[in-house]
Amino acid sequence: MNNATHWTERSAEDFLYSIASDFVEQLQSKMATLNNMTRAKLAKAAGISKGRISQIFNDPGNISLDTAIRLARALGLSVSLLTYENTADPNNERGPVNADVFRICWEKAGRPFDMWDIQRLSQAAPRLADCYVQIPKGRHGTMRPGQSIAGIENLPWEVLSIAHTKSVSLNQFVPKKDVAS
Amino acid sequence: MKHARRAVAFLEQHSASYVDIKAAFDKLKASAQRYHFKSFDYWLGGHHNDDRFHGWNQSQHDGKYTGCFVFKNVSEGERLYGFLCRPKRENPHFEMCVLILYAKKKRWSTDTAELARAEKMRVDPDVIAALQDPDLFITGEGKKQ
Repeated sequence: MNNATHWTERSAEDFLYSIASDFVEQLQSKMATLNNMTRAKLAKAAGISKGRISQIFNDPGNISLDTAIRLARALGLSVSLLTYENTADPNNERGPVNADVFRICWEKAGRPFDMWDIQRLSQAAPRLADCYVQIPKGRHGTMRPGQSIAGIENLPWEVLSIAHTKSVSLNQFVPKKDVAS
Repeated sequence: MKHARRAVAFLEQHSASYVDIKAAFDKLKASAQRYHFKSFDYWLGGHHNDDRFHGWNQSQHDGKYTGCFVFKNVSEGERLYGFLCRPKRENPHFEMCVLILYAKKKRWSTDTAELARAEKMRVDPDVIAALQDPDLFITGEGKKQ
């Protein structure tokens, strides 16, 4: 393995293991939130043998799409298979983006279902004029009008916290920049 | 394994006989290695997963091992012990987990002997000097990480 490349470059099995492992971690996280959900109960609900469940949880790399869908549905989860162009890491030096990262971004974006939702959510994005911003050293101010919330990144000072003054929820629009609490 | 904020490293070529992580890890089956690689990814990526890795806090073992860290594979009974450090003076937020020894056991209560070894390496002058070597973070392309 080249020093610069990620371990998932070693083989297709390694890459498959990595993404399947993320999937199984998501199943386990969901199981932890359900009362008395065991692997045996999951196996029964998904129509899969207990032995197969153990195999998948111990070595997720050989899971099939059919089995993945059965397991997710048995836990009340939906499944999507996605691809993405990672221009920031074209040589796979950091490995595949963790599935939880995609899930969290989707939830923060307001859980859009289709392109109409995305259009609606972008139209609902607040303008800076609608936002109340706390800046360092105890100063407070209302942001300059006419810019989208993304413009915060270009402002010369650190945003400590941000709150919305109108009815649109803002928690989906926190800028990329770290916002200290 | 490197990342902008964190890195995982194996300690090699130390006179202490118990520093066996590299040799032991290389002998693991590919599937066992994958599990640990995935755990490294989770830690590097800032995830929390106590089933796969954790440190020890002040209330445990009289606070003697707060600098120590372990990656574990419960189903295989494996643990990779090491310690956390911040080796880049110019970037004090950068954190590295230096793994030093491999242990395989069925009993899951913490073995303080292994923690003591990890702690000993954490404060070992030779190890500290190696971690402060500026060449440590130079890649094959000659770029500092």
